Amino acid sequence: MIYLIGENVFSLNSGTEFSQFQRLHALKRAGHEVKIVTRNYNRFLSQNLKQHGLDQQDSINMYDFFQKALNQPRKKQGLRYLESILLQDYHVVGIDNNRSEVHYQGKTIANIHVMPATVGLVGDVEYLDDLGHPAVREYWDWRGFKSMVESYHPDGTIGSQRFLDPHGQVVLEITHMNIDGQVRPTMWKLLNYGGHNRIFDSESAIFTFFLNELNRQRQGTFISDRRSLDANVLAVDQPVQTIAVIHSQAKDKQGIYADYQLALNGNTTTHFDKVALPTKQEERALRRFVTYPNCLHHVMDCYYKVTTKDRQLSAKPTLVYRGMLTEVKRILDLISAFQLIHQQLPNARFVMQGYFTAGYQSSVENLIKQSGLNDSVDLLNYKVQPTIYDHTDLFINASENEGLGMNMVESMSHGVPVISYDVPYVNTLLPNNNLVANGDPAALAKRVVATLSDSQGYAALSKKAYQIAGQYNETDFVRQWEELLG
Amino acid sequence: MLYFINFGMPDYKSGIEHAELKRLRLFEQHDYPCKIIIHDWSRDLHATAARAGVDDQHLLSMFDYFQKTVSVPQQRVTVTDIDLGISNPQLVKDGPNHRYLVSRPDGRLLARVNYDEENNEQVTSVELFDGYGNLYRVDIYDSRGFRTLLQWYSPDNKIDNEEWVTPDGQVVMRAFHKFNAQGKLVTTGWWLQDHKQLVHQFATLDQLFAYFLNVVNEKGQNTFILDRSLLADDALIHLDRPAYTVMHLHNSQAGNAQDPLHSVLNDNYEYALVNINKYSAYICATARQTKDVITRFHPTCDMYTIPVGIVPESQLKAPRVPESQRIFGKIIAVARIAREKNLGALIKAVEIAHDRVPEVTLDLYGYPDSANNYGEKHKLTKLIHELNLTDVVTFKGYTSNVEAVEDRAQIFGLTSVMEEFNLSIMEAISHGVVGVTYDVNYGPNDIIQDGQNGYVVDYGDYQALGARLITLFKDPALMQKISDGAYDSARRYSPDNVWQGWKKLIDTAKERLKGVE
Repeated sequence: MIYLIGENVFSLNSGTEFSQFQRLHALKRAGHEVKIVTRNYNRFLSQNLKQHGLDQQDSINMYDFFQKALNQPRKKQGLRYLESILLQDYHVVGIDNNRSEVHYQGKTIANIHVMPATVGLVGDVEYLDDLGHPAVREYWDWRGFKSMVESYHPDGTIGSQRFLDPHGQVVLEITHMNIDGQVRPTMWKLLNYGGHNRIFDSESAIFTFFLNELNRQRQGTFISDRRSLDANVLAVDQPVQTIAVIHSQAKDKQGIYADYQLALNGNTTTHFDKVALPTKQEERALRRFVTYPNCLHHVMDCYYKVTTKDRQLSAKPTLVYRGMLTEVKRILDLISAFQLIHQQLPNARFVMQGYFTAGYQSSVENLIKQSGLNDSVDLLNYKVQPTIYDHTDLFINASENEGLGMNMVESMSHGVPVISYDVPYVNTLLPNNNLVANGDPAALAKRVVATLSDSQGYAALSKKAYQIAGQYNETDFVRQWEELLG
Repeated sequence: MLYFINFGMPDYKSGIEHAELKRLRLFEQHDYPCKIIIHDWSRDLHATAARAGVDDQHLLSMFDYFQKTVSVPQQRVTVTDIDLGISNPQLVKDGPNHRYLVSRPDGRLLARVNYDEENNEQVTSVELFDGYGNLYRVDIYDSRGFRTLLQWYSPDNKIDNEEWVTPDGQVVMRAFHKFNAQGKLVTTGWWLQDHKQLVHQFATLDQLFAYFLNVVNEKGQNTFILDRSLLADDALIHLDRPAYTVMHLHNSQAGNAQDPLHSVLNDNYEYALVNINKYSAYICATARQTKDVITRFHPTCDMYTIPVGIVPESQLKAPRVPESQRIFGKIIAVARIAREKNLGALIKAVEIAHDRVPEVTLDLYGYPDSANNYGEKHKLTKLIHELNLTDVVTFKGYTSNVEAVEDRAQIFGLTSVMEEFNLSIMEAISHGVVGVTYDVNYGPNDIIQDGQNGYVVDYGDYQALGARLITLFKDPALMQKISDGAYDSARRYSPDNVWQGWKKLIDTAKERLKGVE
């Protein structure tokens, strides 16, 4: 069994998760038993899995595991059909598509929130006390069972969370109390697990226990994709093997980043059997900085199916950036570059697709507005399917660095060439004439304008893009991974 | 079914609980089904009730009902039975505090397990600590040996939510505690999941109890006797289905019992009396009170006089103790040492008697009321010193063997401000003790029939009471005659006579509920 260890299958995922999902699909198709193992509580998990082409059988979430809900089928639980609502005494009053209120003699005694992305299915029931404070809230899983019950301290902070199995039995309790004057989760308590209660001081501690339970039930290879989970994976007792997969640049001139020490060098008692790096160059660069250089391996981190349509420059050129919209991606540089491009090619449009990290959206929107680009720049929501490439000409990238740049491989697999700053390890992916000086939006703009003004040259670039992307194919991916797994 | 409604059945009982227990015995003797409905939650309800002779068949606690613990076999639970979530807890006994301190292997406190020292260290509660030293919850154990109430704590160490659970851990009732508009932490609501999984929300415990009474009254012909008015005076007149609802007065309906027709109403009964005709019936313990209620309120509901005291047949048939075998001059009072018992007046009467009959002594049986730091006992002690009666008047404390005392005494004195029945004076006459009492409402002036089983003097006239004592002590023949009268008069409170009163109520209820299924 191969366990791919992650934090979550989010509703909005980063490249780390996309890489995991690809690996799962490929290894599964190659006949391996693979599961994505996640730590976070996520009552929308089964919906998120589906969005990414996965199903419940592919996932072992810790909370699902303890809640005995790994194989729970979906049932649509309409909020008006809740067996707990005393319709003889109470009125259920629809407020809008997202919320209904429960009234008793004209007073609101509870709110029922609709499950997001559904019509009238129950998302949570929030019971109010007589003064209107939220007093206890029951959260429903996407699959239509009451999954978590939350209560509150007098100041409104969370007091306790109880997790239920689909029969309503409490299986796990989280207590929230003070740590250094701040209310935070302080205890995880498994109830009657294997006939006993068990307490844990942190979510990490219970996650380690959980991974060991998995390994005890079915010994396996544990692959850590997130640095936040390396310690948990290393704490698995007698796994088949442990592998850390690095998805990004792990060191700078000062040396290995603190977050990557455990993945690359282990701790005093143990270390990863293997460390997978997305490029040969990074593997080489790290060799003399690590204690166990022989554990380092270069393995492909992504693969794409190449489309073979010949690309022509469009009359109204469209630039694209698809990926996380966050500071290290230097989206502001892309907008500055696009402003220069737009001055010369007023027809040009720039489309960004992805999700923002907290706080970044306003600075991006402000710059777009200040630059007078509101009509030429589109911000599109996160989308799993890469349909955006049907109508784009060039991908532009200004990120500080990349493990490889899977978003750019994806772009090239659609024949859309990439112009990027010359940064590690994008510079191992792209030929020199697709790279411009790091941190120079004017240089980026100049290269883009030149490319968009030369339709023959563009056709050649597109062909080259297909060729590069072609190296990242599933067959080679599986071969490399099978070699690594041994 | 017939139900008596009370808050609980604690070891320390007031007259109301004693009256209820006697009634329960009587119903049991007549094989008539009845239950005491209990309003309050208490971890040892079943233990205290069992000590009072009430079994699970006769007990219906609201909390038990929703927690599905109406009848649960007794289980032994000690510290080693508590699963605290680690495999090797360190136990240290803290004997003086009746608890075990349980720690993690690294020394951090995990729990304090409190136990009942008198009951083989049966666990009473478990105080739980997280890994950061916060007390986050106290789990309270029912005396029968299961976890019944979880009290969650706030970060500043106050109870913030309470949850009552079934023995398998399902939360079925919750009480919320939040800050009100004045910033005070108060109970702000109740949450209930009933047997059909329906969720109910209530602002107060009284509302929840009102709902519960409707659940009890969901079917059949039921009679509810309300022994504590404020628990359900509102609920009983708003039941969803018909029932025979009975308000049982256990105290004077008037604030000043000596002015029952005009004085402000006893606030325990004001609501019930203003709404008197919304109840099916009223019970008073004495004919005099029934008459006063009728005169003042002109009720159209059924009115009953049923004594709350019952003299057991065994006592009625017991050999009588002649005066010659009693201690000459022995006067007793059996009453809490409390302000409303007004024992100072009795002491002053005894002083008058003692001046003429030096053998006179007064023994006071009863525990001192703690109000005002035992103020009444201090006041009486001072009075006894001032009157130079330290050799005459003795505080005897509470006795559970009052019969032995009564078989040796000659006179029972009573000078209370107000009474509802006074079981003690009834018990005294059944032992041939002559009653001498103020004309005080209600009970003493009903139980004591002037010149037959004792004497009634004007309220407040302790000189007259003293004079009566002298007359009796100076005239042994009279004393014996009145003592015989006392024995005879106890028959009025025979089980048969009291049952006749209840029988009438039961039959009337049946008649009134005809057609109710």
